[in-house]
Order: sequence, then structure tokens, then C-alpha cells
Amino acid sequence: MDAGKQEPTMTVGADQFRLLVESVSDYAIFMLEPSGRVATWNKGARNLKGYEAKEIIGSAYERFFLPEDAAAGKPRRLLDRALAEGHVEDEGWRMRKDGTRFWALAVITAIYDGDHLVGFGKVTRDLTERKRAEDQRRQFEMLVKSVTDYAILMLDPTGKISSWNKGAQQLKGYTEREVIGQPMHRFYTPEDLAAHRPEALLAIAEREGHVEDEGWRVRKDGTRFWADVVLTAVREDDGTLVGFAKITRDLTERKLAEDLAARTLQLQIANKLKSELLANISHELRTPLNSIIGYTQLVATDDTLTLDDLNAGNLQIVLRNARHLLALINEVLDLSKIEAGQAVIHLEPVDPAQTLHAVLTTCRPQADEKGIALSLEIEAGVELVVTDETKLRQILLNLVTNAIKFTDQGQVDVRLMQVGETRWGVCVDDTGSGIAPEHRELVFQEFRQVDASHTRRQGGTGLGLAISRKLAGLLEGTLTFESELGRGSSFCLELPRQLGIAAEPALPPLVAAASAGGTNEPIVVAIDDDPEALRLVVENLKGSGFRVVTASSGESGVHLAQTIRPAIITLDVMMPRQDGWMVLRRLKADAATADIPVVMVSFLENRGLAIQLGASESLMKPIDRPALLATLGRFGPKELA
Amino acid sequence: MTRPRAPRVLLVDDVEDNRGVIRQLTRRMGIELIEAADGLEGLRLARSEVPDLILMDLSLPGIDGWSATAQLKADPATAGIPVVAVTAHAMAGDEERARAVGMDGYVTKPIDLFSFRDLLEQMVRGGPA
Repeated sequence: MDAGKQEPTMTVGADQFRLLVESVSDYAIFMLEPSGRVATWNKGARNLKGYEAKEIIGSAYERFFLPEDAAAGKPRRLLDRALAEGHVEDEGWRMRKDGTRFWALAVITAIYDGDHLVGFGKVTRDLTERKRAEDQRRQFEMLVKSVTDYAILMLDPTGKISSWNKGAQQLKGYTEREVIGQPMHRFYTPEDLAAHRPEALLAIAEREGHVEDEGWRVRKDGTRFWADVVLTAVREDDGTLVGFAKITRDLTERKLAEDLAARTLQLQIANKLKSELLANISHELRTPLNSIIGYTQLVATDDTLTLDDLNAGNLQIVLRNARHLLALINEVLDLSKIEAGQAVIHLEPVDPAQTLHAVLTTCRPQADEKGIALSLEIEAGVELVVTDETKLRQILLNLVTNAIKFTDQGQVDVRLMQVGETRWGVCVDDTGSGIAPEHRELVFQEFRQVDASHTRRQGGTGLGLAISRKLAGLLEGTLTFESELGRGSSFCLELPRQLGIAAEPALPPLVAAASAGGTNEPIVVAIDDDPEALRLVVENLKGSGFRVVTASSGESGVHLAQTIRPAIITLDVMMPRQDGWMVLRRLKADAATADIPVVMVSFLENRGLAIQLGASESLMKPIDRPALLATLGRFGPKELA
Repeated sequence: MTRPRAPRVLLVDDVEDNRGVIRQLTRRMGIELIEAADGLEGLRLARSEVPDLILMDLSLPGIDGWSATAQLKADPATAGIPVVAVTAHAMAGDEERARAVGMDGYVTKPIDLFSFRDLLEQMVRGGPA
């Protein structure tokens, strides 16, 4: 080399260069012999790896590697690649003298003197910190991506989506590929879009750093969910807007539960208003009726007046119609009281035979007038029962007057009998007009008389049987009938001997029968105040492997569940006294029944609330067999699932 | 020997038509009827006349029938007079409230003249005439 051609200031002697390299403390810079032994050592190498020059020079560089990497031949492989390619870069774990690890970025360069391999130059940097930060960032990213309960996404400063996690996909239905780069507008309802809600939210977030929002959003499939959204502006240290972080939670269930609670409250208020309105109507209607009936009776009974037959008859017509109006008012009020769950039950010991005698005494003039025989047959054994006498009397009075009303000739027979161990019944048989099969459905409906001409001929409000059946339900009994057109009808009332849980001495007959059967079929307790609904459950579960035990009130349902611990419970929501929600709470609060899955059965869609209150599922009425079976299979005993 | 005086009944009702029915009925029955059209007047007449029976409507202007009765029952001078509610309040709980303030009977409007006559006989003469 001709020294004279070089700039003096640029001349660096080999020694100087060696000193420079040796003093570098942030990089390990050293030479390897062609065999891989350490040939030189600098300060950085000592700092990084912990060896003094004298203890490491001459050693194989394998000792910087993890034992497993060394065993796998990695050190040799790197050198071979450096030979083949001139140099090689590698990132990976290395070991210090003291056995601790660090993340190294190593560059190995083959060094030649002409064609002769002198060795390898090796420069290594400690990137442990960077590696850790990167790992953390990646872990965080994975964490965000894997969160499924929250949709977490990033928006760029213009509101376009730049990242998308699993929760977002689950919540909104779009895959990452479908939405990256798209504006977030597609999640908004047309109403919100028209109101420029997305733009407004972004603007607030940008201005104030943060905005919260609740509202309906749209999934990919067009369905809506109630979203709770937090939108935060993300900025660099210098204030440059990087974008927005958007976290969305699906609060649909809570929203629905809140809506339902609000609606329930509204209904309660409406119901209270209705009761007040009814009380007022009742009062206002009675006042003029008082004058109509009172003054008519004064005229009709005035001995100083001589009325001819026609006028006497006219007055009787006025009176009859006034009384009919009064009956209508009373029965409409009765019905609305029962339906509002306001009917109060007064339990007392009752002798049914005595009540029947009294009812027949009241009805006898009516029967005599039509020339109809009225008989009473009493089976021994029903001496004393516990029930509400007023309501019992109302039902019986209605059944007997009805029978007389619809019978033109023949007889009306009233029979009192035992039904099993725990129940008793009354049947009223007549030889009247009977009910055609196609009219069966109408019998218990309000304001329906099968033969409309009867209303004119026989009077009656058309509410009697509807009320009677509802009253029977209140008394935890049933009212059913058999009839043949032209031959007569038989209405049968069946009631428990002891009404009320505390007094319930034994299980209802169905359970007794079930226990006697001795099979291992799982039991479903069906709780519903509507006998038709219960019948439907029984019918639907025929041959399903489940045995159904029914309860016609919340009270008896809870009692049954505690006693027999069924595999599953179906529970009606709208019941008088204790509604389904109250029963559900009682079931879930009692350790004996808390674990039994409960399926709510309701006319309203309220699955969210049901689940929140501890139910396993909620089915809509009317129940259909596949849905019922599927649900019982899902929550019932495993061998049936 | 003095002839026993005719029984006296105080009727408190704000509706003239309602009073008219009972006025004509009691006249036929030989019962003397004193009438008041509001609660305050009813209280005054009950104290001054001390009738054998009070027929009390419940919805009255001013002092209503419940509180008028409560006042009568709280006053030793009038506590002994039987009070029968004659009212168009026929909803659940109405009768219980009336009994709670000390009413001795409860008749729902519209009244039936025949059974009402029997009730009056019983209350003022101790049984059907």
C-alpha cells in the first residue's frame, strides 16, 4: 500500500483500529478462528457475555449458545452459512457466563485474506429489552384479538377500521378480511346514519379524547343488538391523532330486561289505574241503578195504586232488566278482579253438603217454575274440607242455575262425591239441550252463550262459566264438562280437600300414582294455573320418557318441587297470587330446589329476564312438542339427552 | 201512659234521588226520617237528635262517611247509635274499611227494597213487625 497517496488524517493504523474495537462497549465485536475458536475479545463482548479475554480466547464459540442449540449443531451451521453466503445474521437466545440468557442479534462475516480464510468477524448486540417489548406488544395484541366478550377495534383518524378482534367478529358477524379498511358506518342503523351519529361520535372523541354511547347497532345479518360503546382518541406523544380505540359490549339482554322491567312497571301502573277505574265505574253505575230499582219497587208495591196486569208486568220487566244490568256489572267486576290477581281467598272449614243444600234451596223456585226435578245425592266421606266458601257457593250456584236455565224438561241432579284420597267433587247433570262438540271451546269463554237466543230467552250474562272456571282455578281445582247435544250436560267441579300449602296433607294423586309405578322415569313438575295448559304439557310428554306431575298454583308447585325433587320444572309466568317470577325466586332460594332446572313458559318473550333470574330456558306459549322435548333433553337428566 | 214514639232514623246521603227512595219507604213503615245531605250536617243531626239508627252513605262532600262514622263512634254521646253503610262502593276492601271504623252493617246499592225493609225493621224494632 502506498502511504503517500492517502490523506494523513484518514490514516488509521491497525493498532488504533484494534483499540477502537476493543473500547466499544455496547457491541460484542470479536474474531473467530476458521475452526470457530474465539481469537479476539473486546469490552462489549466482556460486558455482554461476562467472560474476561484471557479466559475465553481459544475456547470454542459454542459455549455462547444454549446447550440445546449447541447440541443441534447451530454454531457450526451458522459458520457454514457465513462461508457460503459471505455473512449470516441470526437472532436468538444466547447464554452468558453466569448461565443467564439474553436475546442476541449476531452478524457473522467470513474474512478472507485473498482466497485464504482468516476467520470470522462476529458482532453481537443485546436486544433482550426490545425483544421483551415486542413480545409484550404481541401478547397484548393476541390478548385483544382473542377477547370474545368485547368487540375491540382500532379506527384510523378518518374512522376506517384498522384492527379487528374475535369479539368484534362474534358480536358483529364480520370477519377481519371483510371490514379492515372499511368505515365503521356499516354497524349503525339507518336512523343513526341519517342523524350522522358515527361522525358526531368521532368528532366528540377527537375533541374531548373520549366518548361513551349506548344504542342499537346492526350485525352483518341485519339483526340488531344493544351496544355499549367507548370510543377513545389515540394520540402520539406530540399530539398527532393516530386513530381511535373502540370497545363495544353487547348489552342486549340487560336492555331487554330493563325494558321488560319498565314495561312490567307500566303494566302494574296500568293495572292499578284499571282497578281504580273499575271501582269508579262500579260506583257510578250503581248510583242510577239504585234509583231505577228503588223507585220501580216503590211503585210496584204501593198499595194505594191500582195497576192493571199490563202495567204491573211492565214494572216487572223494568226490574228484571235493571237486575240483569246489576248482575252484569257484578260479574264483569268479579272477572276483572280474578284476572288482575286481586281476588282474595278466605280459607275456612266448609261442609260441602251444607253449602249444596243452601244452593239448592236458592235455586228450587227457579226449577219449580219450569217444572224441573232437582235432586241432591251425597256420598259419605266428604264431611269437612278447607276452601273459600263464598267462592265455592258462587261456582255451585252458577252451575245449578245454568243447568236449570238450559233444561226445558226432565231433571237436574247434583252429586257430591269423593275423588281419590285428597280431593272431592260435585257434578251437576242435566237433561237439557246439551252442547255440540264444535261448541265445546266456547263454553268457558267470556260473553259467549252457545245458543245466542238463550240469552234473550233465559237471561244470563254469559260470564258465569268463565268466572266459575277461574274461581275453580283459584281454589286449585278444575271445572270440566261432558255433554251430548240434545241429551244433556254434566259439569263437574273438582277441588282439593285442603287448600293451601300448610294444610296439604299428602301429594296429589298423580304423584301417588307415579310413586306406585316404581319406574325410574324422570319427573317433570309442570306449574300452571290453566288446566288446559297443563293438559298440553301432559299430552306433549306422552311417550317421551318423562313423567309429568302437575301443580295448578305456584304455592303447590313449590311444595311439590320440594317434596319430590323433579328432574326439571316447567313454570307458567302469569299466575294469580304468586306469579312465575316469584315462584322462580322461591325455587332458586331454597337449597332443596335451587339446582333443579326451571323452564319458564310464557306468552311474552322474556328469555333474557328469565335467564337472569336463574331459569335455564324460556319457552313461548303455546308450547309445541319439539321445542319442549328439545329443551327437556337439554336440561334434563343426561341419559335422555 | 204515653204512646211509644215512632222510631227515628237519620239518613246521610248527598243524592236527593237516593234519599227519596228511603224517604218513601220509611214513611210507609211508620219510621220518622231525618235527612242530611253531607257529613257535617249528618254529624250535627246525629248529636242533636240522637236517632235510633243512622244510614250512612260513604262518598259524601266534605266529611266522608268513614270519618263521620269514626267521629260518632269516638263520641260517647253517639257511640251507641248503630250505623249502617248504604253505599255504591262494592269493591274488595270497601266493607272491611267500613267495619274498621266501627260500622255495624253494610248494604250495597242498588238496595233491594224488600230486604232493606227487613233490615230496617230489625234494626229499629228488633225484628220484623
